[in-house]
Amino acid sequence: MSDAKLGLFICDCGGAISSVLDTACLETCARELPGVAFAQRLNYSCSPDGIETITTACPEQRIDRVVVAGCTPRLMSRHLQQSLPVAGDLIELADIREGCAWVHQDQPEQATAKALDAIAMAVARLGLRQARQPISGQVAPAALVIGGGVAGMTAALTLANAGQPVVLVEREAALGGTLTQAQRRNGVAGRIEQVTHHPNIEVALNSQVSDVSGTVGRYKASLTHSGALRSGGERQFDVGAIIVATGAPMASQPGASVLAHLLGIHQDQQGFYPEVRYRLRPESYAERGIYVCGAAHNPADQRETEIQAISAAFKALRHLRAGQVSNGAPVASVDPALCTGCANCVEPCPFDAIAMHPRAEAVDLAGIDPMLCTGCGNCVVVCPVKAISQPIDSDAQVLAQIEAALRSADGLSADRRVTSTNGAGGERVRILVFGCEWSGHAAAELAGANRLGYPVETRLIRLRCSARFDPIHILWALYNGADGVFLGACAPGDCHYIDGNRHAQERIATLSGLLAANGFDPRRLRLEWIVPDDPHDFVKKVSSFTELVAKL
Amino acid sequence: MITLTIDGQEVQVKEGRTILEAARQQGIPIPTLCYHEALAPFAACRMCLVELVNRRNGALAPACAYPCEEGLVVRTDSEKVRRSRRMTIELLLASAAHVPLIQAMAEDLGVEAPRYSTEPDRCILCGLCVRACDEIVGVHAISLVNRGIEKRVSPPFHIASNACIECGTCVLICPTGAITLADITGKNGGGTVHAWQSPFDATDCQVCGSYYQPSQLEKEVAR
Repeated sequence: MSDAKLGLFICDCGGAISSVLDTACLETCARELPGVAFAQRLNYSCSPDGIETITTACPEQRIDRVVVAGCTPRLMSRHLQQSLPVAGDLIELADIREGCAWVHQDQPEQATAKALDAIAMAVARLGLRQARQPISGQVAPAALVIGGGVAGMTAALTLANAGQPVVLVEREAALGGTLTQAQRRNGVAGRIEQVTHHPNIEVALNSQVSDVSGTVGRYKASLTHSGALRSGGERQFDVGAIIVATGAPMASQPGASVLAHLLGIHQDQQGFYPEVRYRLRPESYAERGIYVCGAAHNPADQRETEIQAISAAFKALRHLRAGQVSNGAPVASVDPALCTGCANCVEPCPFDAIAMHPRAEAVDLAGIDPMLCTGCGNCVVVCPVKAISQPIDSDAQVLAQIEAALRSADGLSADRRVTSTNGAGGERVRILVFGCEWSGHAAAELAGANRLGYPVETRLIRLRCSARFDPIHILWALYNGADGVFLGACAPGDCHYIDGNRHAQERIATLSGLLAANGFDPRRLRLEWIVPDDPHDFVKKVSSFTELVAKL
Repeated sequence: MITLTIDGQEVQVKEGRTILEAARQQGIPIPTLCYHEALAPFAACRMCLVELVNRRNGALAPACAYPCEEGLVVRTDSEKVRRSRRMTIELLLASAAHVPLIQAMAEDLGVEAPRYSTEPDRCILCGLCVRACDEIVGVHAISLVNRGIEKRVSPPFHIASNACIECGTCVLICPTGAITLADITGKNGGGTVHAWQSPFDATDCQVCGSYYQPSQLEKEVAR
């Protein structure tokens, strides 16, 4: 946005950065960057004094967004977001320590040029960014427990005793599940009694869950009565949490996969439901409120089942008591004016957040459930008409960042005209490194922390997931003069957004084919699996790629 | 504003600043290991100990956590401080002898080889990984467990944990390269049941033939 006033703060890091990089030069040069309204050098941006300086400068200079050029975002961004008087989304860290100073110690001039590019990239990216709208919703106070065996009864009692209304669904005509008559007599019978007469528990026997609609926080569960006495009759409940306690999977259990589908949970080969588990930062997804316990989850005896049921009930209780559920992910949204209703985005969504909605006198419209979206960006790449966008790492932001990474070749930093080390004159190669923040970029940061050098010709772009590696971005990079594009993704099976890396692999393969067919050397484009805690591997792969591109 | 003296230099700082922050403002180096700007002070490694010349009978205090006081006189490089740091680094060198960072710090303090038997370990129990997982990531997948010489970083109950989101923040912040993600997640291939927050190997049951059961339980069932 043109009215954005951007403040840039360059960190000396008490000498850790300024002993390698010429931060005074960075300050002077960066002040000339388009969009930078204010630039200042600080000894430690992250210290209480540094934070205070930035905090005072913001109103004085009327700054509404801040770039801190310093260390890696993974360690520092949360601290800055919590401390600075600017919306967290409008703070960007340009990594000039782990990404520049610590990996190119013996090439200070080129490292400074790279740092300036990193700053320019962050400035370009942040200048176009809008702060996210907070996404939150109410949680209905009731819980649905599916299964009236030991697990279900224990979970229902735990919740009911805590004061939460519970609906307990049992397919059979009696509670107790797989318990034997002897077990029913000793002790567990008391529990059946308790459940049946508990004022907070509504027991629905001979019933099955026929439909679950609604969204996180407020599921609408429909129960159908299947008994012979009273046929038909569907009842609906608004519930905030669902506990699956259906017992061990049996070969003759036709309802199981239906239930998995209804709840949008995964069922493994043996028929168990593994825990609904996100490998994402806690604030970056919405707690779904679906819990699995007992033998439905893994082979468990009565004792373990009870422990699991209580644990699941307490997780559900925490969710219900919070009353609100929020999603901090950069949720993608659909522009209804652009959507052509092709439904290409529905299947690729790893979290089943996208559905097609019919429109009157128009094509169907894709709708993204803002509670289920984790912001991986897969749909943004998939959409053929670019009707889907994200507030962070939007196409405009990434394209601007790519341009900034490559622009300086003929602008501010003249290092690329420097005669290369082997004596031959000419331009240095330019390598763009896209890294998934969980693997490629993580390994790059770790290489920095370990002071492992890699080619200084690289410019790093951090993305949320390899699913966001967009062929259009890659083409734009090549068009703008990148000599090679390196993509670092999680190894198969390791993707934090389920299968973003598989999508990336398919896209890169297709793109390579297209490039080759059009007379462009596909070796300039490489996708590598990167292990996040093996920086040596990253350095090896990036170095060999740079070497190869330099020879082409 | 508070005025104090560090190594003979007068320093003015805002109230609430620590001695370490005041010293850094003045450009006076104090070695640290367990300190990180993004985390709350922990004062575990004792490398940043400084001498409070005119307070507490000249006691040593961790600069990373000790707040500045009006009129305080601090020495960061007195013989008393150096002796303490040498002892600390000697013990650290004994427990993490192969870590370049520790070797370099020991060399700076004139410690060549520890007088104690060395261990092949790399972890120095600075707690950075644990605090980063807690304060930066918000996941609490690991903690410092046990006490004394038994103390170590571990997921709960020493069992590979499913709470870990594999973000690698602990790996990045570790100053000695002691942690890998596999230490926490116990990652292994197929045939793994992710049971109730921790993965374990599963096998076909020898008794009923069809069930899929945890390998640990197999012997018990067969019996």
